[in-house]
Amino acid sequence: MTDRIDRPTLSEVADRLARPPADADPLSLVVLRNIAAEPIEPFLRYEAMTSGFDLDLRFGEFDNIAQDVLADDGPVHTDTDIVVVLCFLDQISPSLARRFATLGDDERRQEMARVEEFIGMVVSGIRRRTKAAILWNAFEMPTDPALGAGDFSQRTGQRGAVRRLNDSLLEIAGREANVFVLDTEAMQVRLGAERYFDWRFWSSMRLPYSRDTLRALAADIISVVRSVRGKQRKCLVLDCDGTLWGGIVGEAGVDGIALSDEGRGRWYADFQEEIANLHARGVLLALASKNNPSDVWEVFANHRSMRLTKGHFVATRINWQDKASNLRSIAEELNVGLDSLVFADDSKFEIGLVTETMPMVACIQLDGERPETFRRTLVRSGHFDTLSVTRQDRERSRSYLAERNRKDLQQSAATIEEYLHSLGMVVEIRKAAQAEHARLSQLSQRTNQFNLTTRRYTEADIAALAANERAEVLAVSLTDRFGSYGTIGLSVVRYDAAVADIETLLLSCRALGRGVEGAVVNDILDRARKVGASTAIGHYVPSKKNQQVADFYAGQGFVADPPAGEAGPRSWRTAVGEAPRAAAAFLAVQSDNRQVK
Amino acid sequence: MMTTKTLDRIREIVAKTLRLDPDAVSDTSSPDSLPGWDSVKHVQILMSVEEDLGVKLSEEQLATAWDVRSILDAVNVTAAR
Repeated sequence: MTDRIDRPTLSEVADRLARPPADADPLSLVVLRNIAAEPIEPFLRYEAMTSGFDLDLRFGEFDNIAQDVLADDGPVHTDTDIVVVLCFLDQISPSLARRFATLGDDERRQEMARVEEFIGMVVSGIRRRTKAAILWNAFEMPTDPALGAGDFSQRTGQRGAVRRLNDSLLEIAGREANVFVLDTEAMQVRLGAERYFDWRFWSSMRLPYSRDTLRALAADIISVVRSVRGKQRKCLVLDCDGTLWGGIVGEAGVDGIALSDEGRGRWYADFQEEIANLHARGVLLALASKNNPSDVWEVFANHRSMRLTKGHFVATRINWQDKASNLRSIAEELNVGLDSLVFADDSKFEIGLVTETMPMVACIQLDGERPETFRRTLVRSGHFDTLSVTRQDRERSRSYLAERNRKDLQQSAATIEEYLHSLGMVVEIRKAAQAEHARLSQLSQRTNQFNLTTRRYTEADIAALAANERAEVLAVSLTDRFGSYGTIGLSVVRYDAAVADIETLLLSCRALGRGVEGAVVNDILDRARKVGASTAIGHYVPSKKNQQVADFYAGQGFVADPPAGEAGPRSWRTAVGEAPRAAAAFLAVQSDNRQVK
Repeated sequence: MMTTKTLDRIREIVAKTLRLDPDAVSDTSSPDSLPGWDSVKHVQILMSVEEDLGVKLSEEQLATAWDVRSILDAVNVTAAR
C-alpha cells in the first residue's frame, strides 16, 4: 500500500516499470475475475517490482471464474503462487446487488445460499489444482443500502446480507490453510464511496473501480503476498530532523526543535508513538540521519517529549554520508536484505535518492509541512502488515540488539552519481543583489553546520561588503526537478593584491550532499583568476556545530598552512591556476562571473 | 499554446502506456495506427490523462475520446469549463 492514496501515478508507474531491477523472485499470480480488472496490471507490476518480485501475471477469462477453475486447461496450475479472486457482487448476483428490495425472504435466502455455494466450489476447485495462496476480495458494502436508512438495523437488510457473505468468506479463511480475505471495507472507508467506485467504465466494459481503488487494491494484494512469502518488511529506518521532530537540531538546539505534548509539536510525538507500536509488533527500528551524533543523542536523552529511546534502535547511522550508503550498511549489519527495509524521511531529495538507486527499499515520503499526516502515512503504508503477530516477532528486536555491532562500510558512489545526474540540478552563483541582502544575513545567522568560519553578518554588514570594491558577496541558489531550494549559500571573498581570501563559505543543510560546495569553490577560483589573483585562501574556524567541514578545503585540493594550535582556526591555500577546474558532471552551473571585471 | 502543451502531454502518456518511443506518437495516432493500443490500454491511457492533467471527463466524453485528437478535444472542453 502506498503512503498516499493518489501515489504513485500511472505515469510514475510506467517510468519505474521501464527500469526493472536485476534480481527478483519469480511470482506467478493469477487473477480470476468477473469484472474487467486488467487496468490494475501496471499497479500490480509496480507493487510486485518494488517488493522484489518478478511478476508473471495472468488474468482468467472475463466473468468465467467457475469455468477457469473447473477446466483442465484453465489458468491455475500447480506452480501458481497466488490466486486472486475479484468476484464483484453485481456480476455474481445482480438480484442481491441491484434488486434486493424486490426479493422475498425465500428468494433472498436461496440467492445467498447459491453465492455461498459458489464461493465454496471455487475455493475447493482452486485447491484441487494448487496449494497457492488464495486472496479473495471481500464483497463491497453497498454505498446506498437497498432499504435506506433502516437497512443497517435489519438482519434482513442488504448490508446484513453482504456482511453474512463476507462472514462465510472469513469462515473459509479461518478453516482452510492459505486462504485470505482482502479488506475492501477498510479500503472503502479510506477512499470514500465517491472515490472508491467509478461507474464511468461500468456500462461499457464492466470495470467498477476507480484508479485509486485499483492502486490500493494492488498494494493490498502484494502486501499480503509479501507476508505469505515471508517477505514482509522487517526494519524501519528513520530520519531525525523534520521526521522525529520538527526543525534541525544542529541549528536550533534541543530546546528549539518542534516536539511537544501540546500544540504542533504534538504531531511528532504522535508519530513516535506509532513507531513505538511498530516496535512492539516486532519491527526493527534504525536511524539514518545527517547530523552530529551528540546532537541527536542529546535529544533522545534530554527532551521530555521524546517517546522513543536509544534502546528502541538496533542500528544507527548518524553521520554525513549519503543515506543510500547508510541504508546498505544498516541492512548488512542486521543481516537482512534491502527488500526488508522501509525508509521514512521528509526530504524529497533523500527519498528520491533511495528510490532511484535502491528500488528494493520501500520509501515513505513524509510531508514535512504537515506533521499531522505522519502517523497515518506510516500506518497506511502497510509495509509491516503481517497476517499474525507472533511472539517471535515481538522478541526479534531484542535478539538483534544482542548481536549489535557497528561496522562502517564503504559504499560505491557510482549509482549515486547517476541519481544526482537525474536530478537536473542547476546551481546559480551570482553577486548578491540588494533585494537578497536580508536573506543572506539571515543565512549567516542561522547556518551552523556547513559554515567554515561561522561569521554572522547583519544586513548592513552585507550591504557594506557588497559595496566594497575589494570584496565580493556571492549568493548561491539551487533548483532541481523537485523544485527550487531558493538561496541556499553565501560566500564572502576579499581581494588583497594577489590573494583571494574566502572569509565566509556556508551552505544551508538542505543543500548538502549534492556537490554544490565544489561548484562554489570552482566559481570563486574563476572569479579570483579574472581579477588577477594568483592564490586563494580558505579558513576553518571550529565551532560546536561545524565539525563536518573541518577537512573541507583539503577535499577541494587546497594545501594546509602549518597549524597554529591544536584545535584552533586553520587555513588552506591553493594556486588559482590557469584554467577553470572541471565541475561535477551532474551539476549545471550558472554564474555571472563572466561579467566580473 | 495551451493546446500544444496538452497535446504533448497526451502524446507522452500514450507513448508511456504503450511503451513506445514518444516520437512514434503523433496527434493523428489512434488505436488503428499504433501497436498495442487495445481496450485495456485505452482505459489506462484515459486514467493517466485524467490523473496527469487533473481533469475528470464525463462518461459520454470518455466514450468519444478514442484517439489522440479526440482525447485532446475532450480534455480541452473540460478544462475550458
